Amino acid sequence: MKKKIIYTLICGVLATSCSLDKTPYTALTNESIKNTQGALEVLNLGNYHTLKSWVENWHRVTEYPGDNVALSGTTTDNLFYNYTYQRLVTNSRVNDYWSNSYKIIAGTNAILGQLKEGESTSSDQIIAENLYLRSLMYFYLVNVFGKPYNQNPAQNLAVPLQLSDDPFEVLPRNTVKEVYDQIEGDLLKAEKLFNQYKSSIYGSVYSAQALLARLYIYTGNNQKALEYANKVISSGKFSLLTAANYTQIATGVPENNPENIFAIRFVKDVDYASNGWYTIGSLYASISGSGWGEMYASRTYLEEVRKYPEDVRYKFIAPKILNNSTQLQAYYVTDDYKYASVPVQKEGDDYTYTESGASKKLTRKSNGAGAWLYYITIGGKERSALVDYTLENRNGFLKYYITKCSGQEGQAHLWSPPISRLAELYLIRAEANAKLGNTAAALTDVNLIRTRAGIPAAGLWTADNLGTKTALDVVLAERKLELAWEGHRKFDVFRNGYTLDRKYPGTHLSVTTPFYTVEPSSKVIVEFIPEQQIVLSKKILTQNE
Amino acid sequence: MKVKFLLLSFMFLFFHELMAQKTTIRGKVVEANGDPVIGASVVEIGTTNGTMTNATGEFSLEAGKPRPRIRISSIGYKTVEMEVTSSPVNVTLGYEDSHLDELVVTGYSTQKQGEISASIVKVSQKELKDVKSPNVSNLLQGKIAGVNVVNGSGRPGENATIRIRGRSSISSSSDPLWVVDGVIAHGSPNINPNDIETVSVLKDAAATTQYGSRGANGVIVITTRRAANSGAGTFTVNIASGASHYNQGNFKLMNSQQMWDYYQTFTNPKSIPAAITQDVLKTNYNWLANGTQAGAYRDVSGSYMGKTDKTSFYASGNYYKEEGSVKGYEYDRLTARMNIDHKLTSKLSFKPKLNASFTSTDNRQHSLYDMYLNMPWDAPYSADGKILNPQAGGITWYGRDNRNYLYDQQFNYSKGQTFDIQSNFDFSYKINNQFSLESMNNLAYYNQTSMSYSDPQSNSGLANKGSIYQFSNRRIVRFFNQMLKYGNSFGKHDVSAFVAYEYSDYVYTSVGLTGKGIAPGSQIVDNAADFLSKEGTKNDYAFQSGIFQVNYGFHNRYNLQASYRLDGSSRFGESKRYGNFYAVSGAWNIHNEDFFKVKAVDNLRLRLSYGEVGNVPTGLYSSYSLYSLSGQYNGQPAAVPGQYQNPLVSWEKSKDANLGLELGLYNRLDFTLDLYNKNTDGLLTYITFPSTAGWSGYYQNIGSVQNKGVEFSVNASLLGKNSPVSWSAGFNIAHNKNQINSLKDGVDIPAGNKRYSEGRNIDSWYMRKWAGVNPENGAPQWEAVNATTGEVTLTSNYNSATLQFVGVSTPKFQGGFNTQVGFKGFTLSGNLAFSKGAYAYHSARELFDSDGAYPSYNQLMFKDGWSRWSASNKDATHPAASYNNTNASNKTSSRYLEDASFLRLRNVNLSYDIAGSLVQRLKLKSASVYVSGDNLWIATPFSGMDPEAALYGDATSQYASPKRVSFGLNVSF
Repeated sequence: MKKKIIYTLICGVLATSCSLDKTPYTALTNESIKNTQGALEVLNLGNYHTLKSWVENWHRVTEYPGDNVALSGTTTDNLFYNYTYQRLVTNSRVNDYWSNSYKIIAGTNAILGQLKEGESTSSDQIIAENLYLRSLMYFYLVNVFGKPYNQNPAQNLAVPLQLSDDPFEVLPRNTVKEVYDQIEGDLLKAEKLFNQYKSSIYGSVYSAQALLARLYIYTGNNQKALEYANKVISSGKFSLLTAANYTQIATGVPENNPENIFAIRFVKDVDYASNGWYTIGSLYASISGSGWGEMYASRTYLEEVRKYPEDVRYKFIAPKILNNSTQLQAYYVTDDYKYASVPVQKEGDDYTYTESGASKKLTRKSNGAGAWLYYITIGGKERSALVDYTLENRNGFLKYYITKCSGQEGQAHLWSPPISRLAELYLIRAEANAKLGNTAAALTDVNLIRTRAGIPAAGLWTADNLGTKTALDVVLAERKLELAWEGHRKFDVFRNGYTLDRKYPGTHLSVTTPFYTVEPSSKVIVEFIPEQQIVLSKKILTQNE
Repeated sequence: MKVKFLLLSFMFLFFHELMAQKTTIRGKVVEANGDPVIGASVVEIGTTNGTMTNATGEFSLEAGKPRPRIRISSIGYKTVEMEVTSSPVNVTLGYEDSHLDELVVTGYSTQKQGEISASIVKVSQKELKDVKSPNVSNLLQGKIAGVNVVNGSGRPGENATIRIRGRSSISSSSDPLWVVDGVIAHGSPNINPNDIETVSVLKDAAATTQYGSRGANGVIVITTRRAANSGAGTFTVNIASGASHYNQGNFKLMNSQQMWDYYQTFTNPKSIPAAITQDVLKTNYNWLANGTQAGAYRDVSGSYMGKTDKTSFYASGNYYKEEGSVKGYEYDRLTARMNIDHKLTSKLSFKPKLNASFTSTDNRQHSLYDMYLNMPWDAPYSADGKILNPQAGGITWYGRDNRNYLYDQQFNYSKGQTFDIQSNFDFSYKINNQFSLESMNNLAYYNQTSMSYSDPQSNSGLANKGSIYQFSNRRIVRFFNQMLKYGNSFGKHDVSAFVAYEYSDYVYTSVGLTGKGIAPGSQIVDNAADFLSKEGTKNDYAFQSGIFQVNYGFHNRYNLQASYRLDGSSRFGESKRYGNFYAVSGAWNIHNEDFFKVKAVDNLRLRLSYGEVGNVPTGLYSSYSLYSLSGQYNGQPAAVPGQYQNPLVSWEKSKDANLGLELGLYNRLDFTLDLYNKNTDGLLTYITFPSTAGWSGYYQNIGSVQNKGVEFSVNASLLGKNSPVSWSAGFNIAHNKNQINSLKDGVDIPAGNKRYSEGRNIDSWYMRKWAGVNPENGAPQWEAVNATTGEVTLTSNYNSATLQFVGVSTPKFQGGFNTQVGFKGFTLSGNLAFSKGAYAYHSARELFDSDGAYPSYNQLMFKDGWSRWSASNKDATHPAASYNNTNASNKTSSRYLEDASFLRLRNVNLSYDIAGSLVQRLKLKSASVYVSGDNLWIATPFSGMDPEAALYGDATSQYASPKRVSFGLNVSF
């Protein structure tokens, strides 16, 4: 009897499953891809998925070195070095930007390596989408790590062109021109292959044409820029938002925004990790207890956007008023670029303040369109004054929160960043026309954008009121106003050989050796190749000066 | 003493001689196996009349009376006293209960210490119990040569990191394997230290080969208690309680005035915000003092042990509760264990075991990071005692992020519960006197649930109108081992062997949910108005093995052992799934040899072993290309490339040779010396691609690492058995030399701030080399090495400074010292641990010693000898400070690499065994009380909280092992 028990037990134990075949639950493998229908589409979407991680640092490396932002303190975050032009070879933000860019490039290479053109409409569409995404990646890489196209593009180094599906391939850097040529060729090919328009959150023939238009304006091929801008504008697929619903650029569902040509889709709740604390918008504003709110709209941007009180683009600025204060202040900037203020009282159109016991008025000048601009004379110098209720400040920097990167579908810092939208295409056409000498056509497009922004007719540009400005000047000024925080400004300045003016309050001026201005010839306008990447490449990659 | 006794005896003999009648007795003294015991002393009790046995063990003694009582003794044997009723007498001497006779659990089997040929160290229950911790890993520190135990965190319930004989793997685990009552555990086990009978640490391949692929980093074998003696059961109660004090070490932060003075040294005072005026001095808040405490701890356990002729029984229960020395964290654990051995028949025994633990944590812990960085100029409370919320605005706040962590902390919390149950259905069947069958069948179920709560009023809960996160994960581990054992003696030859089949598998699943929009006080996701996010994963692995081991002993002199294990692991591709591992070892008990008769030497053994063990990759699916499915785009599933395939990835193998020498003198002094050389080949490495590859990297077997070292330990009874004062002491020290011998194509592999490089230690720091302060201008300086000429120049430009090797993070030598003094029931013991030569990167200084780079963070007080550069102090350790400093002086460099050597009083303990009469009056078997102190003293040059925690834990906001004082009572009845 007892023996029986024992044998039963032994048999039972030995009979338990003894398999060593284990396959992952959280990932597809090469085998499962072969055996799964629709796996290619899942891989294709994988590249779009990675765009969501890519876009965070894309924003930080493109926008922070511009002049639309003012940081209010120091931070352990390496974005501080992007903002201050104090470049660092170990900047983790730059390294992450590099890594995610190439992750997408390799993802597109893997798909492009599997498909041949002309096999089916669906595979042509996937090829086209991947060519577009790869081009988009290279377009920003060449501009972040390589000097502008107008500076010796056949000599200056950009980034390595990885085009094959081989992770073991380590290539040296290509020149700026080589990278641009590759992008142009790929986009032209994609333009032909697209056969389906899904929506503005996927690559399309229009997004490829929009990027081509931008590429041509960057490379100085103005005629082509004009041609491609026209292709998109005249496609009839897109229309500008009205002034009244302008804020939908940020708060709307991206594919419902008729202006979007390509935007990176973030889904409410789902694409909203850590309560939004590590999003792009979280640095710009503290909303409903979420967000650092440490980087504010720059004073130069504020003065521009507040020139016409009707300008709807000011709706993306939310001044943080101290304890619901009802005390007005005239905020001005001192000679060492710090904020200062005097309390003022409103009397009709005037603001009065007290200086050394005497009552004084702010100087008042017309904006030419029925509103006033105010000035204060301090230390014998007339300074622009912006009148607001008493504002909160951080280390003396006024909290003009930027909300253009927040608030999609009511979620504090959800944002689907637009990569191309119709307003940019009008401004590309304007720039091309300005450069081709077609001033009237250029101003028409600029005024189209200004009118949409709510600026009254008296505030529009005419050949007569340009004064000392050129048509290009006003196009670029309009781009700054319209396309702020969409990753354009730094490139717009340097690719046109302009000097970046950063003489405004912000901690970029409180570092040991600050840059008050940045010349287009300066070596700091390109980022260092991340040191870690040079090491991993076994020094096949070389460093920028 | 002895001399006196001899003199007295002589006098007795003298008188005796005159009056006694004489009788001659003859006899022979032999060992258990029949061998003669030569030179044993034979004395007539009560006289000085004595003789010695000859070469055949025979003696002849003229006794003074007809039925004399004699005493026969010899070193190493149990002394025998007997009345001689007839002559000749045959006497068999048993071995003395020296440590050579102690049984040591060697893994799947048990051997006498004197027969072990591998490098195995046993730690008994008594030696373990000095330090107070719920985790057994913490109790091993400083007690075993070559076993480096580091407490990475002082939070209650945290496990220590253990390294046995250095690190031999780049990307696979270096943690040892834990085995509890024969069952391989997943990770370190949840076990009540009071339940432990012994811990054996298996160090060399000869010992660990039986665990094959699992044993490459050493094995820690725990055996839990069972009743040994039959008779009435014993009930034991242990009660201890005490307090843990926050341990700040050398890390001191500035007060309000010091912070102000620091601001005055900034070289760019114009950049300081105008709002920072002398008004800041009105507040001087000590955030660290506010957030730390003397946390109470209590440990109550009871156990019952009993044995009848058929059944032995052990049951215990334990309740452990500890509050952190950082406020707001509570750790509770209940454990219960039952071990039963029941003889069903003379041949069949059932040995069921059940161990369960329930751990719960309540986490409202104060944020250490915030306590360190918050400015002394900010106070968390308003004048009327309310907690301020600077995020809401309208409050002057100097620290960064406008963050008063106390505000959210008053509402928000997280809780965790772990239920861990191990059940064994083990049995053995004795086939005959030679063969027996052992069956081990274990099911382990580990279930953890946790939740965290964000109140709608808190800053973090504001946007979602409050949220609740609930998470649950479980692991199920099955382990089966069926073993056939054999043992026989052929005269002087002893043979034992076993062959076994083993299978184990593991599966992990988890699921988590977050809901938003809650009524304050809710605890479950169901109460949330809406869904916010989800998670859930699963992974698994399996091992399948065949094991064979044979032991041969000859005449108590020679022992040989050979082991073989065939191991299969699911972590490899199909063609590389199985690995062969073997070991051979031998020991020679020289002291038992006829030719070796040195009286002073009671033990002289030589051990020699050689073997091979393996290691598996940490990735469970290492052979595949993995397209991660965690992503989605616009609500559609998306796959992203991650790990790249390598179907040929295979076992990492270590060849390990060990030479051991043991020497025992006068039964009082024991020396052990081990030399080892371990070569690990086919190093499993996760090779990271440059980011241009897109794929993250792949597993490959490349390169080799060598660990060689020396371990020495000595244990001494300094005052002998006859002294009223007993005094024993032990010392151990180990040195390990680690070197990477080869890497793929000879090319270095970067690993963060470290780097793997041929000819170097695996833990070599690689960063910019700090070259002090430029005395001319106070600028920071680093070395710039010309790549072609090797010429070293100094630069103040961080970007152009050269990355280079600057030190290692493993100690040159480390060990421990312990001593115990006893007098009339009082016992005082102490345990010191030391480590020398390791360098720790003190990353906290990037933030807290930042030369103005982080002006809104509190800063570290200067250590003796540190000073800041100024025009009048040009020979300084610290560069000139400026507001928002961007000269990168605080970026990673050897500036913050510090000597983490230490000598630490791990524990001191005073106990008193309550005298016999009182114990008897209370009908107790024994009773003792003690007072004990952990981590009371440390000597170290390290400027942080804890040099140990910096090496293995978080060096940014360290939670050092607390200083702890406890009182305890142990009673048995």
